[in-house]
Amino acid sequence: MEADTHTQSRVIGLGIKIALLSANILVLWLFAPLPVLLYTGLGLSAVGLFFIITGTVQVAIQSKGKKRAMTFQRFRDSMAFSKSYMRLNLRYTVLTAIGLMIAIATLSQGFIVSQGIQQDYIFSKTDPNTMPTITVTTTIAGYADYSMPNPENKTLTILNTISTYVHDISSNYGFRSPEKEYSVIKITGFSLLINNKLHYVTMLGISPDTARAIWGQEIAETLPNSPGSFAALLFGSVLSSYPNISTNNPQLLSYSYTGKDQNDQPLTSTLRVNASITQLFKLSNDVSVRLPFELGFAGSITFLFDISKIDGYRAWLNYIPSGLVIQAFFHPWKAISPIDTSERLNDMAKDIQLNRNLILFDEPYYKITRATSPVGGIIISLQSFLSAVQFIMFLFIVPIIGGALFLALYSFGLIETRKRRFVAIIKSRGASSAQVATALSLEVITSAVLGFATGLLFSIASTPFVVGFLDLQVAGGAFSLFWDTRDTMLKIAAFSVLIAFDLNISEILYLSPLTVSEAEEPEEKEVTGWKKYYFDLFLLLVGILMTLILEMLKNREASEVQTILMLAVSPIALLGISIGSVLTVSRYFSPIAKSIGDWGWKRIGNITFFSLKNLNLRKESSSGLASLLLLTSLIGVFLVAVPFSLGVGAQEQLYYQLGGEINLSQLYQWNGTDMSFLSEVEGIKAMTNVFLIEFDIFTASSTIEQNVRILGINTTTFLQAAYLKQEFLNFPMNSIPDRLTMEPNTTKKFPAFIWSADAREKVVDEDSSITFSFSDKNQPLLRHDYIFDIQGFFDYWPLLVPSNNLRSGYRLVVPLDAIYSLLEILFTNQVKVREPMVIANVADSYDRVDVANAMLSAASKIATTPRVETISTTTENQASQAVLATVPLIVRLGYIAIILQALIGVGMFASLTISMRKREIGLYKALGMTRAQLGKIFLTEILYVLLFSMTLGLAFGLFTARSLMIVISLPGLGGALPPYQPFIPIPRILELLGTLVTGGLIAAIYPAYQLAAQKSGEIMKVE
Amino acid sequence: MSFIQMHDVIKIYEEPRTGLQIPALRGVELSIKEGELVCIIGPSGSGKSTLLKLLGGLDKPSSGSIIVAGNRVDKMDEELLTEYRRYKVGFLWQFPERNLLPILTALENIELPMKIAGFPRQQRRRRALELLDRIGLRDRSSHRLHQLSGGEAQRVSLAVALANDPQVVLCDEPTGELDTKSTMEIISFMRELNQEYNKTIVVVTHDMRFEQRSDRAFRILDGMISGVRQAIKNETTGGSMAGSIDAPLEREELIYVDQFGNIRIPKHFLLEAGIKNYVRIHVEGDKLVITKADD
Repeated sequence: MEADTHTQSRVIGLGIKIALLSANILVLWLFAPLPVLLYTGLGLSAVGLFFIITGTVQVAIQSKGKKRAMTFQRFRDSMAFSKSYMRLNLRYTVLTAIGLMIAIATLSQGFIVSQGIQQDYIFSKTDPNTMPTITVTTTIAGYADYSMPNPENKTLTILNTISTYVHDISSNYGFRSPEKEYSVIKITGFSLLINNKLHYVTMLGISPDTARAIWGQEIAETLPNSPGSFAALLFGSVLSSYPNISTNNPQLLSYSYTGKDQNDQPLTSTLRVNASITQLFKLSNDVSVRLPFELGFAGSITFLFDISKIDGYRAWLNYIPSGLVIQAFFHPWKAISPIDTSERLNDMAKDIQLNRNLILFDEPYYKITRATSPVGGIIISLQSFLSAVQFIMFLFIVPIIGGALFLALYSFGLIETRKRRFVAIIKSRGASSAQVATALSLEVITSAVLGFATGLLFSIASTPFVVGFLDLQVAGGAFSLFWDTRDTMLKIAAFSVLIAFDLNISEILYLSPLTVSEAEEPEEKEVTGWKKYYFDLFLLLVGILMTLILEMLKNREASEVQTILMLAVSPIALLGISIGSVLTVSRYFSPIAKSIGDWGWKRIGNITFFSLKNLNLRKESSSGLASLLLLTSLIGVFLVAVPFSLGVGAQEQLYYQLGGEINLSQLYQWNGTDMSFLSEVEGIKAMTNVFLIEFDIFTASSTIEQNVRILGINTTTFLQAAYLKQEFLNFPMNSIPDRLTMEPNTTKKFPAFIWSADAREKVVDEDSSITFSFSDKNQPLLRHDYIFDIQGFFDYWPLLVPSNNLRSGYRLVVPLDAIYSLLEILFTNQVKVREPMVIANVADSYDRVDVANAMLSAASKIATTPRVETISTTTENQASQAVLATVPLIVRLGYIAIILQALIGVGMFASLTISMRKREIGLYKALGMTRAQLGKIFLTEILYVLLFSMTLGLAFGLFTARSLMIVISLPGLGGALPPYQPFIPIPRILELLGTLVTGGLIAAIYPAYQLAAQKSGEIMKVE
Repeated sequence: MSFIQMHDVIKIYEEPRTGLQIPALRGVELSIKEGELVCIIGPSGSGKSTLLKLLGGLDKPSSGSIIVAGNRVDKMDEELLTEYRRYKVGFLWQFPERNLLPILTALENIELPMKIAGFPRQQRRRRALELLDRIGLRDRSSHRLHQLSGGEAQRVSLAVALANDPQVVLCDEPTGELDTKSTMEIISFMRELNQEYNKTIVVVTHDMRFEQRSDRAFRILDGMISGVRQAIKNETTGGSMAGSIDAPLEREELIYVDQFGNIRIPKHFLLEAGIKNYVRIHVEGDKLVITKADD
């Protein structure tokens, strides 16, 4: 009966732990500040909280604490006792807090640095000399909420928060209504740099249906139909920067701007927002405002306008003298009918592109990011947020967090055994379960809060030094650095606090209801026979199964569901295999470990000793050994195998230094869904052949410089497609193939749609060119410049085929011949190909054998062509080069951080195991061992354990790295890293081993010294 | 009505690994008067400690009733048991580590039960100091566990047990770890307490010195009370306590007769009378006479 209660509370605790941890991990993902993630995180946290409450209530009920009248008294009781308890237990609390502080400071530091770099990266693209007066610099993707300013006050203030936004959109405004489809198009997140002041502008387009849904039929009809007028609202601190904008006269909101156009000619533009705004103000107190996600950073302007008034919008755009980046997307949860909306967007985009008189600053681009579902949105956003540098940081953060979690778990486990006695004593003195629970909780909270505060302060204080030390080129100095990263730091800190709490909660729930005798005697139920392997083997089996699934999925063009599956499967695979194997190995092979110990004993000829053997003899040997191995193998995994195998450590030794390379990484057979209609049309001979060539270009860094994707079809297909699309009737059909067919090698101009994905995705503009640069590894300063001129892109706009859901962007289909030309040019002129193209299976399906043959011959040429000479030089993208040059520094920093963490772990292990083995040491002393002999035992012990488990860890690490790579290279996640190459950084391993052994010894010295100084009898007396 | 009354108390443990049912107590009948100092003696495994745990509400009997100071301990829920442990009983265990928290000073340790009970600070401090005075360790008030000798630690532990002024003090081998001098100190000290504050004290021990200085000593064997050795009543002291504290009391031996008429005759009687297998038995007036039977 009793035992059931406690099993249950333990299970509840464990459930809570899992729920909270998953929630927290989701929260962690929020450094891509996506509301979807935020809400998911919050939702899961709520689930966690729910579990806590239910669990607590359940435990309370089970311990028959039903008397309500007593509750208050008990609470007072508990609090009073807890205060005393806190005072008593201050030392422990402070120690925990220090640990947390270190963790928080380390974590925050990593983010500060990475974000600082990212910041630099964005802003250094802006060349002040060429900067137009109004410059669109960047998009911000943190958004959004609606606030409700009161127009009567003529002061627009931010009132509501994000939750209001979602609430209003989803329920009040009925965007989710199944009967009616409402679409909202948000043209969002462009910034205006006016007189060196940055302003964010947000625009929201709204369909008539939506307008009706929001304001009713009557009002919707009053929306003006004339160009230049919008259902628009202005808001925010930006207003103060716009002296010409008047909110006093709702009849006319106008904004005039006088500046210079790209030809240095004076230009005045005026934005008038009239009529409709009046209606809005009159008819509803509710107005919409958008607030950037980075709270307090800036205000913004929100325009609500009717999608059918796009002409007006465009007309306004024409007033802007220069520079505009538009990122158009739907909010996933708002888009009811993505296809419909995307068509509208397409039309709009085309209109804008064709009619505007805009020259974009820097690399002009405009992009349509298409999101068809929440997950699609998440992935696409992730893609744009996780730039290469951040990605590397991220790779480090994951193991740091993993390690921290494990260490925390491990130490809490040890502490639990100590606390049991504590609980037994105070319970036998009449403490109630509530008192114990409150006292333990208070302790956890206090240490968490202490750690939070000090860690944060420490982190902030040390930022300038770290930045200075790393010589990071950070825009805006330390203050802006902090300012821009404060959000992340707070998140990390909050995350750490949560973790600390999560990890303790199950112990609290478990320990507090124990009866005195239960607390006194650990109910170590020894499981015998095969039963004890069940859990381990189960874990292992699940891990293997999941890995197989992952392997099966990895080579596919993953659908959304598959991607979710892969994301879901991968952690289970990793954890299952790693933990399952470690547990199995350590339990199953503990006899082996023992015999190794015996061997060591004979070999060195000492009287006593060897740790594994000793551990084995102890009652808790199996679990003790397992956790020990787990700890150290995790160190091995995270320290050695993962980061280095992922190419960071390999950077200096592997091919990244080789200079420019085109790596034909993948070749897909491509059947775009949008082309499928062709097969159903009468007279169409065959399904078309569409393929995608995708390759990455690496330069002297570990990150992808360019990712090039080309989609090709054959000429017949092209003609068929053109025939079927009504818009094509306007094009001179006969000239299309002519235009697209080029003589190989005679010109560098060819028609192609090249989508190049680096940190800044871009689509090549009309009739422009793109330059790829490659440098020779022997002469890094000499660079090959290769210019691709893109022609006719916009002539064939309607042939843009949307990619599948996961791949954002659009691709133009071009004839196979043109692709052939491109390949020919590419590969004969410059590029060393890393892997030969595999095109045979694709070629088989071509209806033109000669083309297929040509492809094959091109492929063989590619495979055999050596790199040729260097050409001219440019210093393009110096800033990003500088940023990338800091990557090794970041890596080093991360490495040091992890080593520190591992040291703490090993040190903790060493000192704790020694103090736990008092009796054993006492026995040795009684047997007449000298201090030196004891020291030898510790050294041998640490050495054995580290060697044994690091070997194990390395194997798991390589596996983990590989599995991670599969996930990372998911199409939706950007595939930001080079192909996986197993890599064992032996010097690093030795370095690590040395450090850890030293650290472990140092940590062991104090308790060992203390114990050694005591008389053996006294030591043994204390159990 | 006895102050402590156990009636037909049975406690069965289940061996977790094999699932075997092991009877620790098999129908214990026990009654202790208020203000008595009682020993429970018996070989290891006889159920002494189990009995003590049941009295202290640390464990529940499988069947039978336990009444301590008017409380049905076996019927209490966890909440009432908490109250019971807090105010009604004090514990003193064999090992100081089980009595005292090593991170606390002697004074703080004594204050701990009062803190748990929520007494105001001043009251706590006053009482703790009082107790320290009483055990003669006022000067050791700021010392921690490892700075105290075994005897001192046990004395502090006793003070902890008495902190909330319980009516009953339960001790499990309190002198098991101590040398003779400390043992005598503890014994005499407990005797004093017993007399001074009229505390009922139940001591599980195998220490003859303790036994000799108790009011009564119950003998427990195989989970049953087999007999009791009690001090011969002295008219002048009213029946509870006799003679000087340090001197052993004069004893008489009683044997428990269970409901089926079973008795267990202590070994030394058997040896003395040369009884081996069978005895002759007959009643003479109000006496039951047992004599050696021929083989």
